[in-house]
Amino acid sequence: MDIAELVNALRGYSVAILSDDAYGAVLFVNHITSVMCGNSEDVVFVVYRESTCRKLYRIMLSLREENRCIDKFFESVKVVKVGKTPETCFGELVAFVEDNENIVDVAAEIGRILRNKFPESTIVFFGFNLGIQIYEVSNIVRALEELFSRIRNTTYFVVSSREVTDLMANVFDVVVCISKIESFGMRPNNIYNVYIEHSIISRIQQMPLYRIDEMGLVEL
Amino acid sequence: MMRPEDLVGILEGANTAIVADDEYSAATFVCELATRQLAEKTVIVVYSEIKCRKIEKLLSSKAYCSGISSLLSRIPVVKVGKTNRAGFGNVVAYVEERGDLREMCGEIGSILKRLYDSKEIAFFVGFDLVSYLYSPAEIVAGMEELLTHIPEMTKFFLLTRMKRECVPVITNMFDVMIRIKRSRGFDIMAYNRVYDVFVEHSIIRELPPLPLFRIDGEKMVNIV
Repeated sequence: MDIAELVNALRGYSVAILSDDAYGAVLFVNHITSVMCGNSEDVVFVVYRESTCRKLYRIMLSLREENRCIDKFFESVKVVKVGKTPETCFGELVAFVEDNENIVDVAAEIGRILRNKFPESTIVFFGFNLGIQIYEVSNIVRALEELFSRIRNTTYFVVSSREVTDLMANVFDVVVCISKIESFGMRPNNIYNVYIEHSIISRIQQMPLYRIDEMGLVEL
Repeated sequence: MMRPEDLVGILEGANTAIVADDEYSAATFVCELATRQLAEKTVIVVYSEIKCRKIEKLLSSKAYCSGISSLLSRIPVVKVGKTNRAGFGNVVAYVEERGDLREMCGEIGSILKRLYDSKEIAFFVGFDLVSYLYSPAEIVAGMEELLTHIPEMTKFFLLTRMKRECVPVITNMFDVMIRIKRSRGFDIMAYNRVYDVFVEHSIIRELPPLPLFRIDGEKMVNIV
């Protein structure tokens, strides 16, 4: 299944992208958003907290040398920032939600913004893994319940870490895992396997999908 | 060789947990059980907006379920959550979630007792999410409350990917546990949706722990 077919099949579903590290997640998200930009689809990033914002920016800088496309995309992407300050180091800030330490209220506010301002856009959430470190799982689920009750048919990708696979498979329609390949060769590199861990979509089964690195994506 | 309808007959009056690796295989299993006679005496209790949305998406994706879509559109649904919208079936009652599981289970139990007699079958869907929201002690108390209201009614709980610390509650609380487990088969790279269906735990003499069926893609077949 090529990446354009995958993006097309995931339209309208909720997708968790669970990665060993943020670098692999951004590499994969970059491939997805490239397809969407090619189709002139609107993409909105929801970035949770300052540290996630900074991390995304650092990854962008580090990928800039290899991939000009990621640079251009990150400069123009719409960003809904959740945190302490209405500042983002990349993209165009379109909304700000102050983090008031109540994740359920924050999720409700994000849901309202997305439903009212971006009903047709594809949403990519970053920083979910940070939320899991800060709040009880029950609060995270209540926050997701708030969000899902407001954006029912939107396509959204939530980037997180792999420790929460069971929860994400319980809540999300599809779970894509990105696992880092241990490489001790002469040329150290960030190489990842991408596979479907869980899916309720008939044509997408549990299967290996791609191998990705800074140079590109290869179908498995 | 056991047929799905025989299984439903044996489980009459029992509390059965159907614990599946994913919702897709659970849906295939339920589609195989769903005969017209069964559908006519079935009520679905569904929990949460997350699960309602997911079931709606699953049913629209799964072509096999289209055969029972007309049955499903008429099935009475008791919705538990933030809104009274389910996205499938015919919503006959709504229980608002207020954060107290025991109170919620009591309300569900009294609705089922009032609207349906003990010969009918209740499918509880989406309640696996409860394991991430409440402690095992609260879940046990909630189940007790529910059972007080409808002790004789046949109950099937469809559960997937529960929080691990809540899994022992299933063996403690349910009469029968049917497991739908993804079969790794001979090839770990196998892409097919192949699952083994078996009885893992049972207090019913006619239904000891045994392999039952195999789900292969969209079909369920007997294990010879």
